[in-house]
Parts: sequence; C-alpha cells; structure tokens
Amino acid sequence: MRVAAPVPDHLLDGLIAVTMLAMAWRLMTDPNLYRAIVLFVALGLFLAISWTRLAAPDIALADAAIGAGLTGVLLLDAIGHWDPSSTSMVVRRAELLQSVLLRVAPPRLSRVPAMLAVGGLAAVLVVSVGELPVSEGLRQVAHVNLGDSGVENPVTAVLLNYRGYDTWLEVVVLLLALLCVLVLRRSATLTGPEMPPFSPALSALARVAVPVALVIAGYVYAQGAHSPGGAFQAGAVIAAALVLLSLAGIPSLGLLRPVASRIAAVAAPAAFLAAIALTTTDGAVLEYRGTTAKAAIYLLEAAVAVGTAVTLLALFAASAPGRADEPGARPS
Amino acid sequence: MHPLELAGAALLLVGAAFFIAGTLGILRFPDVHTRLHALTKADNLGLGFVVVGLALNADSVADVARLAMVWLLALAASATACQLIARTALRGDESGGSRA
Repeated sequence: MRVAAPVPDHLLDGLIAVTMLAMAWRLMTDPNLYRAIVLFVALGLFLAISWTRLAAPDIALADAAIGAGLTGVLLLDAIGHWDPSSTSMVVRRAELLQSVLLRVAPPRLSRVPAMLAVGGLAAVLVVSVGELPVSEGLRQVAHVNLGDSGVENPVTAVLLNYRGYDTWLEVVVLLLALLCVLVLRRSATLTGPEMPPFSPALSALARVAVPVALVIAGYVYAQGAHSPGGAFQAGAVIAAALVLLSLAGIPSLGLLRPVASRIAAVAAPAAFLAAIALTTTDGAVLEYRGTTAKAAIYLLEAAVAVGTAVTLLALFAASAPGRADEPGARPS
Repeated sequence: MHPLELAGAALLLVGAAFFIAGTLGILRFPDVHTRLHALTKADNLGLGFVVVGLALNADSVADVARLAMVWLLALAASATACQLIARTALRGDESGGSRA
C-alpha cells in the first residue's frame, strides 16, 4: 500500500499508548465485571495494533487471536460460573487484610506502602534499561544463517530452528496448563459435554465461517515459512473455529473417539521429543540444517498447530458453564 | 496527490465519520436494542467505506479480494452477534433483570 500517511508516527503511537493506559485503568476499576471483560478484549486488540506498529506482525496475530479472543471467552465463562453471593476463603482473607490496614492507618495513608513499592520498582527498572549495554544482539547471526535454517521468515527460524528447544518447553507448559484445568474442573473428556444447538443464527454463521477459518488456518500455516504466520497463529484460528462449532452446538471433535483428541493434545510435545531423539548428536540437541530443516520445521509446525488448537478447545470446553438453563434466566 | 490516493483518503474519512456516528449512537441511545442498531449498521457501513478506500490503493487484485473477505466476514460475525445479544436482552427483560 503506497498511501501517504498524513498523521506523523509519534502522534499515532502516542494516541495508541494513551488509549491503552486509559483502557487498562478503566477495566481495573470497573465494578461491572462484564464490562471489564469487554474492555479487556478491546485492550487486547489495541495490543495487537501496537505490536504491528512495532513491526512484529507474528506476535500481533497470536496476541489478537489468543490473548484477546480466546482469553476473553474464558473470562466470560469464568464470570458465568461465579456466584456473587458466596464468599470464598481467599476473598475473606483479602477483606480481613484490608480491614486491618484501614484500622491501622486512615484510608488515604494505607495506600502509601504500595505506592512506595511500585514507585521504587519503576525507578529501578527505568535506571536499568538506561544502563543496558548497546548491542546488536544476535540479529546479524540470525540473518546470516537464514539460508541454512530451512525457512525465509526469521521469526519462524528462531521459533522452530535456532530456539526450537524453547518452543518445546512452551508446548509442554501449555499441556501442563491443560492438565491443571482438567483436574480442577474434574472433566471426563477433552471435548466437554455435548451441547444442544444454541441458536439458528449461530449455526448459520458456523456453517459459513468454519470452512473459511480452516482455509485461512492452512494459509497462515503455509505462509509461516516466508511471511508473518506460522504454527501458533494457525492453531489459534483452528481453535476459534472449533470453539464456534461448540458454541453453536455442532459436535466436532466429540465425534471422534476420545483417544484421538488425547493424541492430538499431546501431539506437539511428542513431536518435539521425536525430533530431539532423531537429531541429537554429541554436543547438539535439535540441530538440523538445509532440506532436513525445512521438512522438520513443517512437521513440527503441523504438530504444534494441531496440538495448540485441541488444547485451546479443551481449555474452553472445560470452563464453559453448563447450558441446561435458558440464557437470561440464569439465577444471579 | 494522485487522484486515486485522494479518493482513497476521502473514503477513509467517510468511513471514520460513520464509525463516529455509530459510537455516538452507542453512547446516547437509551436501550440495548437501539444501541445495537447503531453499532452494527453504522460500523459495518463504515468498515465498507474503509475497505473500498484501502482497495483503491491496494498492490494487487489478491489484496483487494482479501480486504473484501475481511469486510464480508466482519459483516457476518457482527450480524450474528447482534442477533444473539438482542435475543438475550429480550429474554433477560422478560425474566426480570439481567445479571451484573
């Protein structure tokens, strides 16, 4: 696009920064939780815009899909569960601490220790950033070896070749999070209970949007080699499609045998383990170059996309409140 | 400026005006249904103008097609969301109050 931008960059970036700060303040102080969650999703989209302004479109894609989209859905499910009339132990302890603080010092003064701590930490961080040594980092080395890495997108090269080990740990963390959620919710299956169709409008949207989403996911996955995109983004899009199907009451993964979804959920860590087993020589773990690298990256990306999609769907399915009652008639 | 760039900028401004109108509607209209009306109609039209303005300055036909697809998907999603919210608001009114 070759449109001349009439707005100077600093003005636009400053506006975005100020809006994000105002939104963050507003969502933290809003007593209406539903409104706070909507603001959180909007903040996530602004985050994606600022990532784009910082020339990091890969992160922008992942942040918009997972950080804003799926997390917003999970938060909405959380307040769906929440019964404001019950007080849990954590809430009671927090109120006790607050009442003690208020008795010891008048309300305005009780905020001073927190403000001092936060101000001190901010000062330390600002000074440390100012004193960081000026260095190119590893950007030069990364670009020099890009030809050997099997892909043309430096972000994908870092994620799945240079630092493939870190990506492995990330997918293991995702799996651990899923296991914790399944244990806490005492879920029997990964895909959750079968839901009745919710609304004809939603079913119609699902029938149109899901095929488009799957094509887009495949496109983003394939583009990851030389453009912004890649495995996590593709996985997030597939997860969104599966969540939409689940909301519409159309069974998707539930039609397969449970063992299939379990295999899909552990596909990413298992693929990385296989890659480690196949490529470890003495002194190098997960080292591959040239055409082997290309094949390995495509396979690992496919595993990560599938694994991320199923994991995110399982996180959603585990937290969705039961829809036994009609919307709007839920007791509050 | 190139006339195509000028036309694109003008259409972007028109789209922005529609978005502002939609936002004013959300802030000023009295209840959920009228606010939904302002939100979806004005914002979809605004997005359409923005898409056309960008398409006039796109690099290739593929880019134009992608922009059009973005608009169509946004149309479908917001129409469905509008219907669902309106339906829930209607049911909520009938059963006596919505949850906070």
